[in-house]
Amino acid sequence: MALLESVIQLKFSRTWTVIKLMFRSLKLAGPLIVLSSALEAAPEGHLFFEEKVRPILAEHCLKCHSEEKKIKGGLLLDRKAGWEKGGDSGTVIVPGKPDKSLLMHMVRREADYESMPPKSKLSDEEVAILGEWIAKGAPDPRDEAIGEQALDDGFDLEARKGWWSLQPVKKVAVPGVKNPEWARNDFDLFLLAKLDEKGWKPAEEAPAEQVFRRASVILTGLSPTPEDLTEFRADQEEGAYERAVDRLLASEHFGEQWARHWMDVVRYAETKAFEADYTMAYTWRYRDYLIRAFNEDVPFDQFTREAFAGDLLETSRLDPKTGFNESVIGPGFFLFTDGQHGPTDLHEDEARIFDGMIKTVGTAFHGLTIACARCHDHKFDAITDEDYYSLYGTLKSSRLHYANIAEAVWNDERQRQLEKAGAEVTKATLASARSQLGHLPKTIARVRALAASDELRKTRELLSKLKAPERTKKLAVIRRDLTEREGAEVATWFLYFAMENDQELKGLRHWLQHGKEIPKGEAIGPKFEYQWIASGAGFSSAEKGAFILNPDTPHVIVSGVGQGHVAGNLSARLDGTIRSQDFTLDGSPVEFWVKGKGAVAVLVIRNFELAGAGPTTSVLRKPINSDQWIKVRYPTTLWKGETAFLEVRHQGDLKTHLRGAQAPGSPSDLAWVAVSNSLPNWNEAWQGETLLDERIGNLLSRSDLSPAEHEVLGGLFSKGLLKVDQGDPAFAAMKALRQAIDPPVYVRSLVDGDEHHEPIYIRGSHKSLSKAPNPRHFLDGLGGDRLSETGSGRLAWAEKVLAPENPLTARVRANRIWARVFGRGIVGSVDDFGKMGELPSHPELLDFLARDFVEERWSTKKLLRKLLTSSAFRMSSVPDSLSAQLDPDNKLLQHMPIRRMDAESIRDHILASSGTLKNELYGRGVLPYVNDQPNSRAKPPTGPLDGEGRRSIYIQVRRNFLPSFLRAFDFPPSTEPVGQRPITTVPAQSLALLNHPLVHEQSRKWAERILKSEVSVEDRIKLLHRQAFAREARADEIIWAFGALGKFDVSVDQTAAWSSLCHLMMNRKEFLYVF
Amino acid sequence: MHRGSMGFGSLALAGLLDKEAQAAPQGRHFQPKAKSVIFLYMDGGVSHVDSFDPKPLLAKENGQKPKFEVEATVFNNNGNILKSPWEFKNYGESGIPVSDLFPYIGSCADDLAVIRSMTAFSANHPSANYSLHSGQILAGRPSMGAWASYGLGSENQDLPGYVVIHGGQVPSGGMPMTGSGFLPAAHQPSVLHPKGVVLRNISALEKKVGLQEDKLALLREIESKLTERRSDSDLINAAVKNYEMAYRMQMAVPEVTDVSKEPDHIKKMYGLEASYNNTRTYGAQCLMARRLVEKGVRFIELTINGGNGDRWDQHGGLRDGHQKNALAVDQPIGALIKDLKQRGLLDSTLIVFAGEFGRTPFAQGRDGRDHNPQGFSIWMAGGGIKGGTIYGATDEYGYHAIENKLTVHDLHANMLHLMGVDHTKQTFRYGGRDVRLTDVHGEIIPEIMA
Repeated sequence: MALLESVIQLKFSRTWTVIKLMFRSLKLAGPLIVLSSALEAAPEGHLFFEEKVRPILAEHCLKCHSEEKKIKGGLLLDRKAGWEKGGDSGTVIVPGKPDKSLLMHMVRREADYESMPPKSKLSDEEVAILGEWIAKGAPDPRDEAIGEQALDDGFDLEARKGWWSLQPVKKVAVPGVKNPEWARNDFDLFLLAKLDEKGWKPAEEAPAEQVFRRASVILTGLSPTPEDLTEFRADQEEGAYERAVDRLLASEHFGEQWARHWMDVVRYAETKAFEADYTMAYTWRYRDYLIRAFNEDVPFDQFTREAFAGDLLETSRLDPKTGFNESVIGPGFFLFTDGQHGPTDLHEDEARIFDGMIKTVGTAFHGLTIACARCHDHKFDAITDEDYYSLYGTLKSSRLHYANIAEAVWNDERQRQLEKAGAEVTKATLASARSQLGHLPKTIARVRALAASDELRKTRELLSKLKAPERTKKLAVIRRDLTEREGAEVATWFLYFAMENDQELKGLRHWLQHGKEIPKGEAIGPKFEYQWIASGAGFSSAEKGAFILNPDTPHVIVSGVGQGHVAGNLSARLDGTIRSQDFTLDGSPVEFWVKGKGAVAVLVIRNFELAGAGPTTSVLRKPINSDQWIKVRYPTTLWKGETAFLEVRHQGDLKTHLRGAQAPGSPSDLAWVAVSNSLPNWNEAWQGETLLDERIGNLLSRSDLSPAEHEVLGGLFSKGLLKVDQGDPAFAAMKALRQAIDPPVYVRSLVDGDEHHEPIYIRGSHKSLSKAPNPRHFLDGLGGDRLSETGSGRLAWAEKVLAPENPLTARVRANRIWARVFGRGIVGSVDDFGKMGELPSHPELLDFLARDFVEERWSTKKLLRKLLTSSAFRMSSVPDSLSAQLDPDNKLLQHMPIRRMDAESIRDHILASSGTLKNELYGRGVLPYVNDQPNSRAKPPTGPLDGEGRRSIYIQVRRNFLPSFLRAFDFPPSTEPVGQRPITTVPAQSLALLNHPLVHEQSRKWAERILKSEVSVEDRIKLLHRQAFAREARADEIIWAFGALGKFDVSVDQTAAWSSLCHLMMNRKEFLYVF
Repeated sequence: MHRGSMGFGSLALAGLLDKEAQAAPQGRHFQPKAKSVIFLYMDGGVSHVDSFDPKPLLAKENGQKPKFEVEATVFNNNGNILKSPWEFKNYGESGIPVSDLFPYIGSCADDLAVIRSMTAFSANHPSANYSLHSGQILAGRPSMGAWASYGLGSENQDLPGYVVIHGGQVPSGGMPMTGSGFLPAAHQPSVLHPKGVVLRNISALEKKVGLQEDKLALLREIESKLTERRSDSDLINAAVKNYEMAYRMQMAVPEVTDVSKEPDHIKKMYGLEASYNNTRTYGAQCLMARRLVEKGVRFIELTINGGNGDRWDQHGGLRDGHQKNALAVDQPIGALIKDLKQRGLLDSTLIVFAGEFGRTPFAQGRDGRDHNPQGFSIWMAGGGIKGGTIYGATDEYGYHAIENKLTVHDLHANMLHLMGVDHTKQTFRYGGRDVRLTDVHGEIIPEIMA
């Protein structure tokens, strides 16, 4: 039946899709059986149709399903051939079988089916007629064929592939020009050639200091300081400007400015919007990663590889300063997703979130609108819905992972040393315990006597009435008394017997009570069959038995683990997360065994990140704090049929979303965790000797302990029943090694999960999946090659992005860089190289640029140096009147455009002028100032008005609370990728600069600074202009400023008057515009 | 064709950059019925079976296990059928039934078109809120108000085209849901507050009288030299000019939002003297809305005030919570309709009353109701709406819309239509598509049009 269904599905899919799918999965595609229409209807059936059925169709259906009106869902109901062909969802009528007919499910408005007609319900009688008609074999006399137009969905892949941006990057010769002397490099020649065509001349060269300010703002986001200006002026030699550009490129502020551009493209944000605006921990480390990457000029191909698959590279790129892993931070960009707690449909939620990721990937690296192919093939471009779901499958095969970048400084040699030290500590611990065996028989006898006496009953009674903390206090008193009376060992053993009841030490209690071993009994608990895959250095197999060792605790052995996997056994700082394979939930509870401290166990359904947050999903996240094995149990009735996997996070409290503005805590040195599919029968560990002390002696002497024996021994130590003397040097040695390990430094990244191929969602509905498989492949418009890799295929995807024959990547990246320098891209629509985008103004230049970029090993800085030292860049911003008229958008770049600084640069310039700006890079962001935003439950506490003097890039990007001052100047909403911000010019900006408290506060600080710096009024005015505009004040400006100070009553209140003048300076256009 | 200028959102110039060209108002496609829209956003989800969609069967089967299949809800703590604690009365000539929650609104029944077949795209507040505002269950998409501003701007140079009068309760999903998304930031709402500082950055901070005026004069003086020198640059000239507009707004906004000078009978009518604090707040919001309409503001959204027991979101304590919420909004809304009418403005002002979804006909816990996106009621009144109309229907329990089912796309399409905008033609190029507020959906409903 399944095969037949898929054949039917194939038959009714669009022909070319079928062919392509078959090609990709030859194994699955059987012979294409063409089913003839099942039952030949008797002619008298036609009468029934005409009298009863046709009126229903006419009244309720044909408005949307006829060639004359609309063809919704690809379905025609105005002719027999129409319903025979079916619609996008496949067959709608199975003649003779109303219950197998999609049409009937829909008109009956059954759950899980789309209701039809959508707006009104058919009467019961009408539904019955349709059912009867289908039961009769659906006789239908309307024998018109389907028109070609109705059959053609207009998608011709080959034709679409002819689009300019998909053609190979051409090797172009530099054009000839009339005045080659003007050009300083080849790019200039291309620009000049176009101007020559029009008969226009490039604008005059702008004054050097103006160009310098331009370069500074573009490269670092900062206007030159008076000191920068002095340095620039001091160099009077040939090439002074080029050297200034080099200084700017070498400035660490370069990375800040260019990181921010990329943050726009990948919709960087630190919170998840929706109701609670949860914080995603550690996202700021991605921002720092970008700053370092741009400062180090990481080649864009390497950068791209890291973005897609930094976790999968054979060799990771390391931070030269710390030795930490840089590459693994790259995939973090996928995860700037939004999120809500407790969605009722996790599949729908996944589809929404993945759509955002696909949109971002398409925009950032391909310059394509792949997300437009979610519901159908792209309306204009060579992008199929198979492409969309191919990427979907890739994402679905990837799992959110909190990676430890400090792990890169860990290595096999250190691991070996630590393991050796652990073995020595274990040996010393066991030896220390063995030395106590001599007095154990006496202790055991005494404890048994006490246990048989009234002492036991009294102690239990006394304590059972109390609650913590009284209970703890009382216990301490009892312990002290007992210790005085009986000695410490007897006290410990007796109180253990009286008060505690650990699973692995049942045999001990039995022995103390009955004087003999416990019956062997049955295997314990159910067995599960998860295949566990660990990520991170922390996890290792416990199949040969492991002790959780912590020489910084008195008992040294914290627990014993005899099976499964364990993390934190040698050091809590060796981090990891362990996950199961994917499985499908059948509605029954999901269970497994786990124990540990500070760990978290999550059932991840449909990649839902916020498990634990919402009302229904709170059951999916369990904190683990138990040294006893517990059976974690997740009810799953709400998610029957969904795919899921188990995930156990060592140091789990640190690997989670956070409420409000909370910061994650620090890694604990006490954390550990063990997971297992089964439990040992601990009772077995008590078999063999006739005396308890001999049994324990046996356990302490053997090197071939069984899993059960391991756990029992672990229990004896962890409860303090066996004492450890840490005199042996092995303990200090291990402590030192543990101390030398870097605590984990977390970033949000990905790991590969099971290989997954996502079917196509018909018309974008997650409830209507294609039955034909959709093997993962690279974009059809760029060859559509099958990506046969196991796991997620992200690395293979990255290689396709970077393949020499892929014409988009270098073009898109080089064009973005160009756009940042010249104000508009050669392709104006920097995010869209498809048909809805713009055509390149200089196609040859674009290819020359792209080729040069790749030949220069994808170096951003080299390209920028060329662009900024070109003659074009040094042009004045005053246009030629003819070109201004004929080319108002300045597409041909006759002159440099005037630009307004970005929101961040405006704020930074205000802080720099007032002397508030701190020269401090990196780190967790500053909370935004939100006192001017409405109060709500999710609102974070406000940050300081001046953002602690940090550059704007260090202000946290909280989606529900974007800084209003920045937003007024077009700071992006940070939910969707933005390659080029729209620059608006609105009165709200004037109001912000006139009335925002930040501006007033900083005006005052600036005034105080000026008053301290210089003595004469004229010098102060000159300094003010140098700080604001990076140029000398003109005579009229000095006069104006004197006049202003007079008007502000400078003689009455000097600071107030200068504050007002500074306020005016911030409101002058030249403060925030670059000419 | 009259093209309104854009007030706050204004770009005094078009054609600087492509993006900016798109920021200029697109204009109307046909004669509008409504010049302004007031969107009364009932945050949290009003229970339709307790307000505008009476279901006698709920009383009959009260306390019984639902006889229909119950779909997953947010809390999934679903109980038995819960009858409405309120009685319904038929109002006006049309006889539209309205529950005792809303006697004032009920008294305007003949002006209302009650839509009983609304549906939502999500059962979660944020997603449903996002889609009610933008048509998409996504954060960060442009809201209907932003689209209205983008399409039509403002009639008044000195006032914003799109205003949110914030009652105090930030909707679940955050204030950015009322934002401009990928539309130019010019179309962000100006968020007005009925108490305290009316609008961010609207008040001069200079304490000394005349100081700001002095500053502006000095600024004008020095900038005029720049604009002379760079007369070629529209960008610079527009940026300079904006200071004049900013100053005018600084005057106009406090003036238009100051309800204290309204006559006493009007204040009383809106509930400004009511004993319940939230009635006074919402009354002031409604009165501000009327004053803004008079000045030609295009799109005004009212968020409700907090402190009514979690918005309209009564997962428990339905009777108390809904009663308090209704007490806060009913009188002011009734007054708004009547006041607009007596001023002859109702015909040109579209009022929309809607939450993000309705509530279940069965109980959550003992005395609450969970979210019900499958069918609920909203109403429209005023500009271009046929009063006294009931459109669409839910099933006999009020669980699913079964007749003339509508989505937010349809709501938006009709709102734009009444404003003179063809929702299929108002587009913005984004992400490779000419995006519409209504995506590829939305149908005009002739039955509710006057």
